[in-house]
Amino acid sequence: MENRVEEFRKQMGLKQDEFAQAIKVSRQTVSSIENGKYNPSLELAFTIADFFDKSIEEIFIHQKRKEQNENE
Amino acid sequence: MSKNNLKVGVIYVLLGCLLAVYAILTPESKLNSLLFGFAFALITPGLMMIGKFFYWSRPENIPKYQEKIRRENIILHDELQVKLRDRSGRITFLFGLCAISASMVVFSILGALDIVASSRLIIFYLAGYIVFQIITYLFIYYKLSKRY
Repeated sequence: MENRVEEFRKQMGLKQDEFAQAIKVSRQTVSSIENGKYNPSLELAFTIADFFDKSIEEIFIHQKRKEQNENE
Repeated sequence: MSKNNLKVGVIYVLLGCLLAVYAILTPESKLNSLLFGFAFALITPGLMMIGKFFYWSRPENIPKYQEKIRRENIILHDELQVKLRDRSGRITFLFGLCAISASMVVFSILGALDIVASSRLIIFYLAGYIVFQIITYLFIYYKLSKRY
């Protein structure tokens, strides 16, 4: 699953460590999410969405849905 | 830092000292070395707990301690860390089963070649342990799956 966490975090001028501290996870988790190596739980996805004041769909892009949209 | 850490540390040291004194007073006992082992296994962490209590209770260290606890709490509940711990536990469990099975084969060979006496006892013990591991695994899996 692709995501725009890094983009939104940088827009807010936050370092990974500061962002991790704000959403109460480890810096490793933030790094893994941003690199696409780890898909967060629904709960953490909501926490991230709430933090950026965005909807989950704006941050996390499901590959299949993206392909469907591109085909249309 | 909680005073409970100090209390537990003191209790450890006292119990350790009691065991050490008992071991010194009964030099002819066959359990002497074991008692000394237990005594130092209690005294060492007890002293460490007491030392940590006084170190982290210093006024200049309190903010550092709070930060340390906050970070430890994050790591403890962090979902990626939890997932990694679960996976490493499962892989370790599977490796453990393989190691026990391999050990049973090795002891069977050593027993057949008369290199190890009472190899049968060791093999029975290992077989019992492997059965225990599998039954415990299935039981815990069943109990956990009932929750969902």
